[in-house]
Amino acid sequence: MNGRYVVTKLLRALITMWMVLTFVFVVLRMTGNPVEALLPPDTPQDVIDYYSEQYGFDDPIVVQYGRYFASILSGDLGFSYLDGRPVQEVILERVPATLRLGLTALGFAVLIGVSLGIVAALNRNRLADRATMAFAVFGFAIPNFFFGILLILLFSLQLRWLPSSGHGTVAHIIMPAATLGLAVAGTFARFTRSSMLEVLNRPYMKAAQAKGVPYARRILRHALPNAAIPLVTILGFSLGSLIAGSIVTETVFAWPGVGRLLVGSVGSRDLAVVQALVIMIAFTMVMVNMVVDILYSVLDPRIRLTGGS
Amino acid sequence: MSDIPTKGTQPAQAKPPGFALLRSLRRAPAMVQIGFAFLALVVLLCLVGDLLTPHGYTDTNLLNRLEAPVFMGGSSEFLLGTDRLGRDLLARLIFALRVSVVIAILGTLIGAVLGTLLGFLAAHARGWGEEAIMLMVDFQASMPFIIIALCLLAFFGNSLTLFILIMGLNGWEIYARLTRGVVLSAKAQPYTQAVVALGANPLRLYARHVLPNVAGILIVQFTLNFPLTILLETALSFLGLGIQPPLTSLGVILGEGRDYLINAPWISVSPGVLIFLTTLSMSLIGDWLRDEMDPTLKRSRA
Repeated sequence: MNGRYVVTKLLRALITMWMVLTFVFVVLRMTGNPVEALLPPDTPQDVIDYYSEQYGFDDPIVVQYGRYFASILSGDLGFSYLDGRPVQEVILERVPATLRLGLTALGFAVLIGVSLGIVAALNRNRLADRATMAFAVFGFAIPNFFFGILLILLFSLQLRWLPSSGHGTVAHIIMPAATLGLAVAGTFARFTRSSMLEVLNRPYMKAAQAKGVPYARRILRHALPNAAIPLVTILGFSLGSLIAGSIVTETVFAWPGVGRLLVGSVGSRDLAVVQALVIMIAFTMVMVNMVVDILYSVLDPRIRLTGGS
Repeated sequence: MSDIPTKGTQPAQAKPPGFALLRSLRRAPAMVQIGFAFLALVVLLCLVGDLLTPHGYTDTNLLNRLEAPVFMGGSSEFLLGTDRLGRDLLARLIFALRVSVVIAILGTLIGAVLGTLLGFLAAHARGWGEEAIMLMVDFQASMPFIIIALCLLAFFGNSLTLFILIMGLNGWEIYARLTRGVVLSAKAQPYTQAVVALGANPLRLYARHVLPNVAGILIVQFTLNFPLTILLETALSFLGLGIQPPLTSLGVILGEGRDYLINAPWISVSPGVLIFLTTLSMSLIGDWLRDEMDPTLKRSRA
């Protein structure tokens, strides 16, 4: 049963990846001759013709489709026309900064979100609960670019505590991570709260109380691990929200990551880079979601038993 | 997502919106009422905001550049101050609000109509037609939409028409999924079988009998999707990849103000506050509507 579940998930991931690749292929060809789109705008006609023939854009579309897959699978993603370097190189040098920011924000969000969620659940309908829920709504509704700018106004320009842009030191990462993590922290607070509330009503919690287990131990050892299982799926969701958020956040704080690269490449229409970034982001999302699904089934045996789809 | 909808989405529990809703608005939480009041204000500003200021949104006034708003010591000629070209910020905000709201409404409408149609189609066709539609739904749900939007903008180049269409693609998959689920469950119910037995063709069945039953859920989804569309539009415009000058939107003004945070923070803060309050009001109302229309969700929703 378990093996079949994993295979189903794997197949689904493959189909999604195939759809992403096809989407990029189709959209790029809908714009006309891809060579014209991939080369700088003022390229002479004979160069365009040369590359069209070189890359085989005169071939039937099916042949092109096959070659497109072959080149992507072999890791050949073309060249950035801005500086002529291979796309992989341009992207890979940006990845560490994005990972650093994304993981910090995620850690931040989980820590704050889960703690707030627990506190809210334990104080149901009291002030702490309402404040936490207000925080979650706030985090969802405030645009992250505006929140980032408010942070800069307060901590960089008024108080002069933190640098407004750049990277390198711990001080640099605080505001970007807070901006990026805010919405995710809200989501975690919300789901931790409802998940905890559900667990707190279970008979085994009563049993633990009757047995004389101390309060803190009941909450942290008996309730929390069980309440945390559904949160694994939120981890999958949050990845999308983190990726989307990093595009804006990195731009606001001039953070040298993948998100800012994507914005810059869209602005200058450096299509080889855009194409590679979209494929890479999709691949990351699909992989993480697959792992999260499988992890979830390992943590919660009931999923495995009820089967694949 | 091949599951038949659970009890939460059954049409029998969805009350048609209307007077009943107006009545329950009086019992709504204060925050929701404030949200409604703020949205009314937004609509009013969009309609007659021009009366508040004598200036046009593109009138430059180079002698009055970066003037502070009146409550920060500026002159009463420019109530909310001016930007780097001496343009009246109040006039610009009102125009930008109009653009942002109209685009959000158009975008959300396009998404709702497209998604609902595809949802009906999927439920009607079954078989591989349904599979294809649901595959597209899964595809879109698996990617953050801003990535798809950026990809389309890069490949096609920016234009207002394309931009509005992209806004429309945002969230269609949710309508499709909801509609398909509800239609499938409606088709299994005796009343649809009765209507079919009476000789109604599928079109009539869907338009006259099923649609009114799913309308409530779709309207709730509309109010939940609207703030997301505003956030997407302002984010892209803020990045310089959405609405292009001379046209302006709240995101554009916010982005322009970013270079003047030290001397003129009000340029960024005022559109930011407008966006925030609008999306906040709309999501509060959306959450409340969802609870109102579907009491069973009240307990189980996260």
